[in-house]
Amino acid sequence: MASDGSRNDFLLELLALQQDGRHAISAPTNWTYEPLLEVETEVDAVVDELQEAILVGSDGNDTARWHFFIGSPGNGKSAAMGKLCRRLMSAKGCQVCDESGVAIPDLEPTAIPYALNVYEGNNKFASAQIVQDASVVRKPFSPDVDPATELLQTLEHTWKKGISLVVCTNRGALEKAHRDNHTNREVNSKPWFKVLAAVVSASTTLSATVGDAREFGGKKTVFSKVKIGYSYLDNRSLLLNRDTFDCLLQSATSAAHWKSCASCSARDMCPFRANRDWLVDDEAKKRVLQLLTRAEVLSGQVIVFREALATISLILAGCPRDYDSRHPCEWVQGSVANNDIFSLIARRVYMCLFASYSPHGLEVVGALRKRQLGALRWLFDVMNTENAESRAAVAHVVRRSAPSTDVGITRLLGATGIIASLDPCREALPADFYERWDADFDAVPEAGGTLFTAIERACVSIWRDLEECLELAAEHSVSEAHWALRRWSSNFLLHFGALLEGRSAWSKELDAFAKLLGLVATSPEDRSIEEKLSIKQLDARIEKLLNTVAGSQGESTVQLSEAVTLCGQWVHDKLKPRTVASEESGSVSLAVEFKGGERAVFAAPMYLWLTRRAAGRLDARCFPQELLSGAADARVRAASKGKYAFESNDVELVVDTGKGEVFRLTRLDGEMDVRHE
Amino acid sequence: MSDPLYMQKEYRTANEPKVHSLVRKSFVFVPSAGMRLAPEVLVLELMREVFFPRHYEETGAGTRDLDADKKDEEKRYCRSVRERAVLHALRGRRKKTKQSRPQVFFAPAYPGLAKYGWLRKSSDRVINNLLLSGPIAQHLWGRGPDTEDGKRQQQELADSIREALLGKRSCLDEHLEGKDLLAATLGPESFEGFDADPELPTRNIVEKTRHSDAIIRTNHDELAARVTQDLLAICSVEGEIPRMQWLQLLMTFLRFALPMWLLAQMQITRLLHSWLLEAVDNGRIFDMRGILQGLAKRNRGLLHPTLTATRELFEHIERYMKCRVEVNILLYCLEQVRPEQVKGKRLTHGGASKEVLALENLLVLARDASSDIRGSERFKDVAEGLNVQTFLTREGEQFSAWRNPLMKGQGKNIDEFFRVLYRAELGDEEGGYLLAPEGRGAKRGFRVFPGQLLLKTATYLAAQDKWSCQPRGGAGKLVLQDVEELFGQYGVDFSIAADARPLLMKELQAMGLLTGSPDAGSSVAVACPY
Repeated sequence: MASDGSRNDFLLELLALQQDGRHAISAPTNWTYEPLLEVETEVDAVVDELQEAILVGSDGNDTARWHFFIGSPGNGKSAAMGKLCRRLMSAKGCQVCDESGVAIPDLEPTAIPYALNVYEGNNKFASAQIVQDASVVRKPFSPDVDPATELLQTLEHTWKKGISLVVCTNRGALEKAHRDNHTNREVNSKPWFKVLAAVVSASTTLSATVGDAREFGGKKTVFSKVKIGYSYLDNRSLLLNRDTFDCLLQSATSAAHWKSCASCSARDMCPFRANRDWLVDDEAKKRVLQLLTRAEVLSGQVIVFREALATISLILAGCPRDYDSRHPCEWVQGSVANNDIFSLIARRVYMCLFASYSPHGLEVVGALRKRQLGALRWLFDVMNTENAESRAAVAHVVRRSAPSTDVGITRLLGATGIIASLDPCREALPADFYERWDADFDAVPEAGGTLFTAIERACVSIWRDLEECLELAAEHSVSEAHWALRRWSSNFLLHFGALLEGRSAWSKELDAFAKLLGLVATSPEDRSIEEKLSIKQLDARIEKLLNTVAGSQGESTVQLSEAVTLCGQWVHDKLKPRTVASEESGSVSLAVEFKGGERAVFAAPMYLWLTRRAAGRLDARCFPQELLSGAADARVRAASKGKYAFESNDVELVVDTGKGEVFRLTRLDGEMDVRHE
Repeated sequence: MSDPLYMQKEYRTANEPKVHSLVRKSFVFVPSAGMRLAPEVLVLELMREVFFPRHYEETGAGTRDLDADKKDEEKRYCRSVRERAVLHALRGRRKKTKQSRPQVFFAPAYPGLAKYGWLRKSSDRVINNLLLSGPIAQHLWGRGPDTEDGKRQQQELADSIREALLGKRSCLDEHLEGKDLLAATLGPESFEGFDADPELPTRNIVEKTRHSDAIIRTNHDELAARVTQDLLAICSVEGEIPRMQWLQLLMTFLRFALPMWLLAQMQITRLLHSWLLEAVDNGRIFDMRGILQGLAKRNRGLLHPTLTATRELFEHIERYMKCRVEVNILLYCLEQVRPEQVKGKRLTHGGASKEVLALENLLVLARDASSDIRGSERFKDVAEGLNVQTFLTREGEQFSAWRNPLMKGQGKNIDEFFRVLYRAELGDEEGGYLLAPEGRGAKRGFRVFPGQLLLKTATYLAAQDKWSCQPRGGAGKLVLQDVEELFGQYGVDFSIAADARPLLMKELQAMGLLTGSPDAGSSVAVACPY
């Protein structure tokens, strides 16, 4: 925190990373300087290679490179382009200009050009073109704009020129460009369209090349041939089996950025500095990363760069909505001066993650909050008037001047977000946990250790004062006020304890699923016997559950229709579910595969329920059918594709008439034995 | 003053004016439909139309549904254990009755079982009207009545339908190895007799798909081509997948394609109504290009997926019935003022002869006869000084089919036929429906969204359509847009309702059929289920 009169401007830069901040979207205008939180990723290796491969260079490279960065918004495509452009300009001496020839340092601050041309040395011709977002168009206000058509025009243009091309796009733009033209003979026979077709049908790996180099064929081309490559960024978690998120945290909390805070008079009461200390502590940081990993796994969707940066920014610099035109340091100093400590504690890391949607830590449901505030107002009125500081702090709460609850990143941090569904308070917590964090106010600081800052101490002191007031009061409102006070304090203290101890709902199951994700992603040869066994046990659990759904206990069965169940040795042998890595849905879910390649997504929620079922605490009829319907359906399709009906042996159909009668059709050497039971 | 023609006994039924002769044998004519409570009945009807000399039985006057548990007078089951097992394997919807025991519908797995069920003689033959002589005949003969291509396609189609319905893995001989499990259960004796006259099914199909006056002369009719190609695709997969799954696929196709064809054909009456009134009231004649475009696009945007209940289908029926009554009234008026140009002719679009009246000529005739119609005694009595639309409305009000289109006359039949598209309360868990009914009485409506089996069927058909064009330059991956387009060709428009696509993606994802990245929108890859 800055000393009085001075400020830590790093916080302002951090704020620019939030979803409405100016650095939330990487664009050519901010590519001329290093990003605030620069970390090494796998994409850097691709960028390193591209900076050589797309240029002719001094040794007369004759093979151009076309490379497609494919991924959803916020995945770091544009940031990678920024890095590439910086290196081309600084290390290679290239000029990177928009299509009208304006170099990117000279671009208007709001300019987002569709394509950039890369000129080597003093060349008047471009060696490469960079399309930083193929889902937009050159002329957005023209009639009949279509990003797919624009992309095809770019491919055709660069092919004719025989130059390198780097394209950032989502998969939709590629698929549409392909789909709209693959039956059009005038287009589908063109060599540049074949490149697109090859990329669309290629496997979704992080980085790969497609076939051999292709000849441009033209006479006045810059390069004579081109090599095609692509990078899928969707399948990349920043947390699971990678330390990218950790590196971002390390970069954001490095001592150099926080040096000026040492002399600030408000440093002990600054939530951002306290949060930084939390994230510097190895164990405490590990818990934060663990919670985010669980959130990622539960949602089945990776936390992208943009979300990661916005989260870090919120934890370390707060929410811009609280500041108006003020500096974050001014807001902290002002809050300290006004004794608004409940606003300060609302920006602590555990509140940012678990309860940023809760104003001043009060109830989220409007009616309950009204009741709670009513009780707190009564308490405020009966408070000892001599304790002015405490009264001032509570006054901010009862006057409803809470910091903003609209902090962005709603998918993760919103009231219905992923982390809210992981709130440990949703489950029964152990008694000793409550004992440590929610029983005696005097015992809590000890449990909090060094991370229990002056902010928490000040709040605990006020809650203790309020409780003493309650004990002295003799009115019927006491019980209501006691409820309101304890609900309020426990919202802070339980979340503090939960984050510090790494508690969340479904924690064991989600950690196990995360481990499984890593395990299944490895090739079977690299797995230990224990790992193989755990996967096999999981497969057996899924099979058992699918059989249970089909209505049988123990026997391998497939429910083909309401009346018909398929069973027999054939089902047991051929329709075993197999847990495999999911290529399609990123690295945070698995797939169940059956013979013939029929697959269904196996996401964390199904695993959570499976685990509860396996633990014997859940009746099969309580298992949410929608979670299994995908796998059950895939199994029926696998049975159909497996041609059970044409097998000569080991197949049995059980036909239930619905009137207590059953026909059992058993096939032996092609013949059918029909029994009526 | 004598009554106008449409009020006279010989020119009207209890509910509406009789269909005018100009329309009766023309492309505008909408064949009557009847209630089909279950898709299982459609398969029975198809088997009867193809493999039997008649759709009904001389011995029994009424309809007989297939009943696996039918007993004789001595309380013994009429069917053998094997037949009962196969019938029960294809047990479908349950009919709600006021009696305590619901009636169950069974589909015949093979033609041999279809001999135990039939329709009544006077029943509306929806398979014949809305499939064989409907879209298939339209597809075969749209370019002309005697084209070589049409004849070749007709023969191929007949062979394909016959083979598929008979079963490529059925027990026509004693060898049971490799035969379908259901066929093997029934045994060779169930198939005896179907090769006695092998030409009968082909003859039946050829006869029922012959050229008729109801064919629209066009090089390509989108819906007719779609229905025909889809039927062929379904026939081609027979023998590749188990018979039970194949029959579910066939039933889902029939219960979806037939009502949508009927709905599209109903639009022609609505179009004719608007063209005629434009000519009579405003003196404006639509050019042929616009008319052909209207006919070609009649199948588009008929229903829109919704997450809340709508009355869209009822509105279609109501609009059709009102237009139908009004068009007939107008044509009878025209016949009265221009008898020599109208009487005894049939309507065509394009072409001219003594027997036909071309649509463009009808519109000119209507425009020119406008003043004579307005000058008639009846018009003066009913709507003097007002426009023809008002006159038609007032005259239409005389007929119960106009006043109460969902309860009287053909509108009631059509409404009842569309029930095959609804989700049944029992026995429809597989999800072959398009409409989920909600509410009762006047508030009766439905949500338009395909069930899982219909989605799977549409996905399979979209895949077949896409991959069948491989020789023309590579088909590429099957994507959501292809599935949406297939629904679009049948008239179910996914492009407008904002919530429809996310729900469609969610449903496909739940079935494990969505394989691509969700950010691809309509280009997200979809897996073929069969």
